[in-house]
Amino acid sequence: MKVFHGMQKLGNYKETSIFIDWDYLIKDRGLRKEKDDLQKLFGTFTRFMSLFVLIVLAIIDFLSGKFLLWEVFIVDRLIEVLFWVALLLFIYSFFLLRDRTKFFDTLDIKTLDMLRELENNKKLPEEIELLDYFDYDILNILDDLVRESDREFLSNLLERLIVLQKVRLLLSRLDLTIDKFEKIIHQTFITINTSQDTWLIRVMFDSFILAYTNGFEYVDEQVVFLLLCQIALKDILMNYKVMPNEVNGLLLWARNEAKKRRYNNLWKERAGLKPKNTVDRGYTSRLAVTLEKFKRDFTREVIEGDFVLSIARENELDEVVRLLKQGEKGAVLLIGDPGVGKTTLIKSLAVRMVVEDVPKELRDKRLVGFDFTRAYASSPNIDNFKIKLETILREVASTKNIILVLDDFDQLVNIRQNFAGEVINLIIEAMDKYKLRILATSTNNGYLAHIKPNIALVSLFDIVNLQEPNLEVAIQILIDLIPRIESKYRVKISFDAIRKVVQLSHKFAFDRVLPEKAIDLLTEAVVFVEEQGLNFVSELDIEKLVSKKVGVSLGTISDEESQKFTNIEEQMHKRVIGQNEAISAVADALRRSRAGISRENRPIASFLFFGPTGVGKTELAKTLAETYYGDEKLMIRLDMSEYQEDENLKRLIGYRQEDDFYGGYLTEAVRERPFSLVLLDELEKANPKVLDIFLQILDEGHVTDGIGRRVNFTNTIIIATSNVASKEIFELIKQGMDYKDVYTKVLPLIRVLFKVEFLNRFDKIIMFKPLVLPEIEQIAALMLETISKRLYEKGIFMDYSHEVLQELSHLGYNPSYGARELYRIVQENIENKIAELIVAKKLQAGRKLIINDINNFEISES
Amino acid sequence: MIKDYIINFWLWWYFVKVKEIGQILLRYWLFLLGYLNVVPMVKNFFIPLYQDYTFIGRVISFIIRFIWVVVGSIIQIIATVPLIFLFIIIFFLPIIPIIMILSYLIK
Repeated sequence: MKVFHGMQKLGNYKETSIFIDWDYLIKDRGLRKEKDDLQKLFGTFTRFMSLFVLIVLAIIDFLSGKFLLWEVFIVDRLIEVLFWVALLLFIYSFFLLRDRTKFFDTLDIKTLDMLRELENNKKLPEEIELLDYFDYDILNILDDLVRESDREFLSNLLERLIVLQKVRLLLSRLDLTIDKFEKIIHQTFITINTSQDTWLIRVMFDSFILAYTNGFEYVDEQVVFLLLCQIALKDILMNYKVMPNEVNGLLLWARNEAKKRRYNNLWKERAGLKPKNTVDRGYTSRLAVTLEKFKRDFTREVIEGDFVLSIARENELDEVVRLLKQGEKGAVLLIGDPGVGKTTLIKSLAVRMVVEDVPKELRDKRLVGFDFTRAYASSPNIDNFKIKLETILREVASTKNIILVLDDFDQLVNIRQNFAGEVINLIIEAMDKYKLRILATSTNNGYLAHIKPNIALVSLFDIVNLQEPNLEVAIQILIDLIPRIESKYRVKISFDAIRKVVQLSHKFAFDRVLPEKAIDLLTEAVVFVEEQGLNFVSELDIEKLVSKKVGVSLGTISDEESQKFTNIEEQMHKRVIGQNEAISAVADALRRSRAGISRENRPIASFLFFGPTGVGKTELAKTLAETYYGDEKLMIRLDMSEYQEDENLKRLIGYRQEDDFYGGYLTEAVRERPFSLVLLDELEKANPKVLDIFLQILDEGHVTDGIGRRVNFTNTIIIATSNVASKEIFELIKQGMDYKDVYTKVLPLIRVLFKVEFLNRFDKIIMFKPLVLPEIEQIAALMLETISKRLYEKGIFMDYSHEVLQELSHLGYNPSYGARELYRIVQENIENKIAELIVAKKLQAGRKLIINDINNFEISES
Repeated sequence: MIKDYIINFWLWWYFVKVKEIGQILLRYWLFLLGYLNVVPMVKNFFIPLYQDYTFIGRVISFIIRFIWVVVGSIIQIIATVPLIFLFIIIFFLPIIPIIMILSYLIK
């Protein structure tokens, strides 16, 4: 039996030793809660009785008609003693019914915030008593559970946790019901060691560290629950589609909520003290008359209750605050793609300024945006606008209580192209002269095009980059918005749907960033569902919508689809005759991609087809486009013989000439139709420098075009074809060598032609064999079938004999041209003759054409 | 038992409740101080309002600031007295009944 008593060191955090006082934890031997409940009951009784006595005494006093309250201070009679006893008990009842989260039996109320403050000042104590930072509920649970060697400790702990409201909230955010979680607990007990010896100390120590490092105020039930999800339940939760990343995302959300609550309390306290007008509290600032006309007052919005906080942007926000505080060079440029959350970050800064969670230099300041597009629209000419801009900058300098926000700063400096230089000079001069505090924002492209070229302008700013949030953070941002969307559209949105929205928007909308693209997709899905008269958005609805938008089937593989992918070889064989090896390699790659196990940041599949002409390379590519993307027209075909010179590269990816931009054939096509097959015909003819661009595409799945836009290739299938080694293949096959040997023999010929690193980047290099006579015959049959179908549409029936096929294949068999010759033969001997018969009105609807041989066409009534 | 029901009561009253009520009263006091805006007015006593550095501007500013500070301080002081009184009552609240009861018993 393990005995817990005295102080025990559990571990270290940096230099500080973490101790636990077991005597304190288990002093009530699991009766902590029961004792409290007894006190509460006693407290309720005491309060009721004392109040009753006080009221009765007041009535007696009233009826006696004296109303001399001070008489109670002359304690002569029993009635006065009764009054004081009742009053004492009344006061005592407050103790019995006290808020136990704030006081149990320690004198100090310690929070982790205090500890963090100490660490910031480098005054972290040498020893910490862990339980000082545990909240009431979790302490009660532990007090109850800690006893001699409990084999079910972990499952009991979980059972006790999920009863609590705050943990239930987390469960719903993970889309787990109580029933589901009960099963998880049961499974935990079966699959892992849940004994107290293994878990007790670990849970306490690790949750303390987790709470401390994640900005929580106390170690509460949410922290312990999230910790268990991260360590003990990790594998089991994955069976319930809860991935570790989601638990991390939830931790982030819980942390953000804690912060929001703190800010909300501060806001209630401090927003009312902020000046109602535009000056500072000392009335020392001047009015900014011109700016008032074109302003957006961010701090005022917060004071009036528009309370927005960025999720997981603490570092960037701290950086902005630090830079703005400096004063001397107080200009900050926030760079991030549209939709990444620049404005939300500005709003968060305004929140921090209002609740005064900023250095004192920024406290009594206003965050005011200048709406320069409105100012420009109201200016009769550019000179007038320049005067306005100059006035505003001067006003901001003289008011001294404004931090000026210049949203889309790149557009401001380029508001009229010809005057860009003048506007920039004006700003540089003003910033130099007045030492303004400015917070500007720009997109990446805008920065590169309009700001970066001007070194003097760039040097004025400190740059803070806002990166796109990762998927888990984006999910939490969406969760935060859900209540608003749900109440606006009166629909319910499932957790799975949110997850799907983020995943799919990230996968299919490349030229935009999270979280905005996910928010837009979700809003679209809500409208989509509403139009169908439904009021619940599920994962399936999101998949349907995205499939509809991009034209590719998504989501869980349906039975029908699964069948299609199992038989994909058969389907391709319907159009491509022979080439079994090539077809199975392609089919394998497709299945890998559809099952989601291929590498993410690369094209879906990439192949190099080589072999003689006319054997089905292009046909297989077309078939692939049809099978995978649903239409053979979704193919971008580039004849690489047109890219033999260095400078041809420009045509491929686009280029800028003076102020005009010429889009590239490849990049523009892929931007327009990201779900396409890219066919690079006659690859060996392209210039090596042109080929280098495909190194990156094949490896990283994207390329930057002539004006710096990132073009995404991760949803394309790339097929390059080459006629290299056709002769050798033909000769070797003719000698009776089998496919594998021929392949090994001719591969060095390919390696001579292309760089090794280039070839290695293809998923597979596939050799196409020359066609043999029976295969030509099958192709002839396919061609005749096609003609027959076309005639059938005109009401004409067609039949043909086996002799015709033999004749055609003999005539059309040309080892050097493959099936290409056959096309000509069929055209000349079949199609032309049928055409003649139709024109001569011999062959009409309702008749039947029988082709006995190529010179014997028989027409009969059907 | 004695610790739970008696000692803890006194600890709770003086280390938690009095502190809590004291903080609330202090918050009211500070809110009023912020609302009356006396401190920024004192700090900028000789700086003219709205940066009007003309002679007239300075004179008017001085007068306004002076009146503001005087009136504000009077209101602040008037409001402070009941708050202090309230705090003293809270501080002695559980002791008074005991003294009264004891005085009766002694008599």
